[in-house]
Amino acid sequence: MADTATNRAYGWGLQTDFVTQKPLAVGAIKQILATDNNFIDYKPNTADNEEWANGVNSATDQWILSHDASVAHTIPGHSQEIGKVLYLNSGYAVSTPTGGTISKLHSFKPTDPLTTRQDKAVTYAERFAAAWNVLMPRAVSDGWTLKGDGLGNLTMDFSLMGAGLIIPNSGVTWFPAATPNVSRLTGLHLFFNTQVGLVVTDAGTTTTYGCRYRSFEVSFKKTMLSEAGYKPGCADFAIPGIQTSGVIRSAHEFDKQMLEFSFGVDMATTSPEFVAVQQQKSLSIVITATGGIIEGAIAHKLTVTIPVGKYKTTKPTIANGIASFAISGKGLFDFVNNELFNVQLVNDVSSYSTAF
Amino acid sequence: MNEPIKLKVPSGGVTHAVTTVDPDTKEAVTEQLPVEYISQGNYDAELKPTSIVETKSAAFAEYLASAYGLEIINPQPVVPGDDSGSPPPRDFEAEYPADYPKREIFIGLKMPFETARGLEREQLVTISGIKDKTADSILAWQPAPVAPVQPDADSEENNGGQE
Repeated sequence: MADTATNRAYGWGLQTDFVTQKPLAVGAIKQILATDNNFIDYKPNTADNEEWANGVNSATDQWILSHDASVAHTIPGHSQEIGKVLYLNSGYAVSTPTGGTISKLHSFKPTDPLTTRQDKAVTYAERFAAAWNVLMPRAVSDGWTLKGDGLGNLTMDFSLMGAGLIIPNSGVTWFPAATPNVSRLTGLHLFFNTQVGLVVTDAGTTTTYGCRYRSFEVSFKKTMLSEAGYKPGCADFAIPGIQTSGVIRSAHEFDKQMLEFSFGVDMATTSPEFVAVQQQKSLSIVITATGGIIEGAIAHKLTVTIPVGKYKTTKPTIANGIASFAISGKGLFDFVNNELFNVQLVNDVSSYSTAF
Repeated sequence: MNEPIKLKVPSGGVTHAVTTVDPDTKEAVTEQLPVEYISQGNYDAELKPTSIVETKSAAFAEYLASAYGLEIINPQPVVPGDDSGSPPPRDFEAEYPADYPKREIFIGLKMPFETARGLEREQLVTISGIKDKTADSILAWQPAPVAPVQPDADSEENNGGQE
């Protein structure tokens, strides 16, 4: 019997620190509902003796220095699930919205580099039928891209960068085991692009795009100190105690934090978006997605605020047969609020510290 | 091994301003909500009123004190924790010359003087309390000239030698 893409499955569990793998217990790993067919991209970093005086014109030996691994996924914009990606990449605070009991308001903003440059790590798991059942501990995220277009659901792209350690034949148990390590997701709430609103404020003048809004994409990226994460003095080998098995990362910190965005909007009289590019106006941008009710009047809600943004380009384009503007720009650090951007997410997750 | 740093959560708890846009009216609504839990990287804290938070990271302790107003109760002052490279608290008051326009705003923001000096006009006017006129006076500000020291004969020779 052949295995197909329907046999694939992914999961992750939050680690307490970078080096300690999530202990395998019933339900310790939570399923990732990826929409892609991606798997871990693993590579050993090797060196050889080709340039040595071997007496022959070829390399005669090769040895392993280190290991590297990463995986990229796209998940649907479930209110509860996008918060996990945000949590891995951010400083975090949780509150209860006014009138709420089961609903929570989660606030995310880029991790303060004066406090730490080591964001949270996960133990990542993936399976392809019976042949491939591996773990990748010490995986950190280097950012995310949240987007919405047309009538479809929001989606979020992210990558997990491993320390190089891959555990094959991990023994992780999945559905349909009676009490699997990987628990399935239930009760998810999906955001759609039709629930999105775009508001841009220019020096106190607010533009609510309303029916002119078409699409958005917000991308948060971090440059990673990937090479520095290999620390010779740590003696952190792929196989503990086996000094020749190649080192893995003992830390994986970030350096710069960057935010870029793009929008698709219908053209308007006098092309204010083009003027904003030409004059390099400082704009405040708020993107919201309001979903279904959790309790009382409290709804699932996503709010992305870019307090200081500038447009880089905007040009007329044809989308679905009508004249539109494709706008792109980037966020700048806001000294007033001490942030590059912030995301607020209202849902029924009690806290992301215990969500996965 | 370093002793953990202990911080006390204020009796009224910790709040933060949350601004949301009403989907119907499109108006921004800001309210203060109690913060129950926060994290930065692998450091985290429950922020129940009057509770004691412990951390071994001096940097995280500083973050809790500056961003959320927690009081460091032990040790006093903060000793380096497992992030021993963190700098001591800056004296922003001392950094700003007495005649620097609206210096109290920058000090309140804990913005280093060299950062403030590097801001452009459009960045300055985004700061609460600074309008166009003030921004212009900030950009026009120059440090008071220092009275020149009369060189003695030796130093003149040295200067000449360098040329």
